[in-house]
Amino acid sequence: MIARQREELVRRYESLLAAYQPALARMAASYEWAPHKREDLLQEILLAIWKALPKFRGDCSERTFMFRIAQNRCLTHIWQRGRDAQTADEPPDLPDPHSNPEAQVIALREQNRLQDAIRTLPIAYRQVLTLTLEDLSQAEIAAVLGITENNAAVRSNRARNALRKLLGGPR
Amino acid sequence: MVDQELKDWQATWQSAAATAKAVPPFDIRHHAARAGRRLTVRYAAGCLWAVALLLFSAVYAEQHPTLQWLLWAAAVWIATLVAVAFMIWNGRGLWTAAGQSNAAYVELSRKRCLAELRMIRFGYGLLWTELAVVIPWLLWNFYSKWRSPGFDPASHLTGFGVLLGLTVGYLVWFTIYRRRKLRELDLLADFQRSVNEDYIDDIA
Repeated sequence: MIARQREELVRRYESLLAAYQPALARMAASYEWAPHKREDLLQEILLAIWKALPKFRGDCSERTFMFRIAQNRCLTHIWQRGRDAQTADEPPDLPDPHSNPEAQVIALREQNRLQDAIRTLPIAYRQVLTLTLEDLSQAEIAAVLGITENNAAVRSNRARNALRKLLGGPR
Repeated sequence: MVDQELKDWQATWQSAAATAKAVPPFDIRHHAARAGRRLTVRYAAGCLWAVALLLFSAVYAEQHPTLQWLLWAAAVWIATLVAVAFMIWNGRGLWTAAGQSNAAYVELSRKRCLAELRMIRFGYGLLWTELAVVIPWLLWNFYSKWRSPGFDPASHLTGFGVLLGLTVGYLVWFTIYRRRKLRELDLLADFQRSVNEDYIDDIA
């Protein structure tokens, strides 16, 4: 009986990972500059999900459940590190968007630029923006972060303005 | 315009880490903390057992000051002190991780497994040495009293039985414990491989 329950749990965990692990990895990357620490953070997120999964009763969507745990884990990670992620390690200089227009068409460079910019945002903006970029609705973002929809919309708007400024204005 | 901008950001953002791989749910820090507690208990128990053996053999030899029991007490002291010295030497570097990363905890757990496997090999060596001393001694004791009027075969057979039971018990325990430690090493190697893969570097 217990073995069957565990099998079921492992199946649920694997299906959730198949669907959301890339998104969780992106979230971990938006909170950590150092690649090896990102791996650790992702491990911590996955572990927290594994531990919380038996208690998940479906009172919110799986996506909300996963992202809520991931956000909490990322915040705990920052608090444990004892300093804000904005000043953590050595943030790379953001490339000037106007200085090398050819390079901007390379997808990888675009990814890096976006990631680096997001990592420099204040945490409140980063939280709402990473969830927006994962295509969560305002209602889902509010549920994940435990704020009102109105507050989520305001933060999202401000976060997008801040990101736009960092990336060099509207393209 | 703004919605298109968001869509572009989403496309760029979500194109990263598309090749992420599944990672097994394994709490390495919890595992290391639990193993650390077990290690502390085992070392404390080992020290207490050593003190008890030393005291018991000393007191017994003092109450039975014959050559036979003095030699026995000396053998117990030597074996116990060698075992404690090995335990202390084997325990170096097993108490704290070199860092706070998962890799450091994996390395600590791996070192602990290897140390326990060394301890098992040492245990085998000590067991065979003790048998090499105790079996001839029991046989000599048995034959030297064989024809004496107060000869009690039951007590001698009990001695052999206890020796056999302890030896089988130790061998079974060593085998089971060794297998468990080898399995743990495999698990740690799997975990280490999974965290070393560059599944997240793609998005850096």
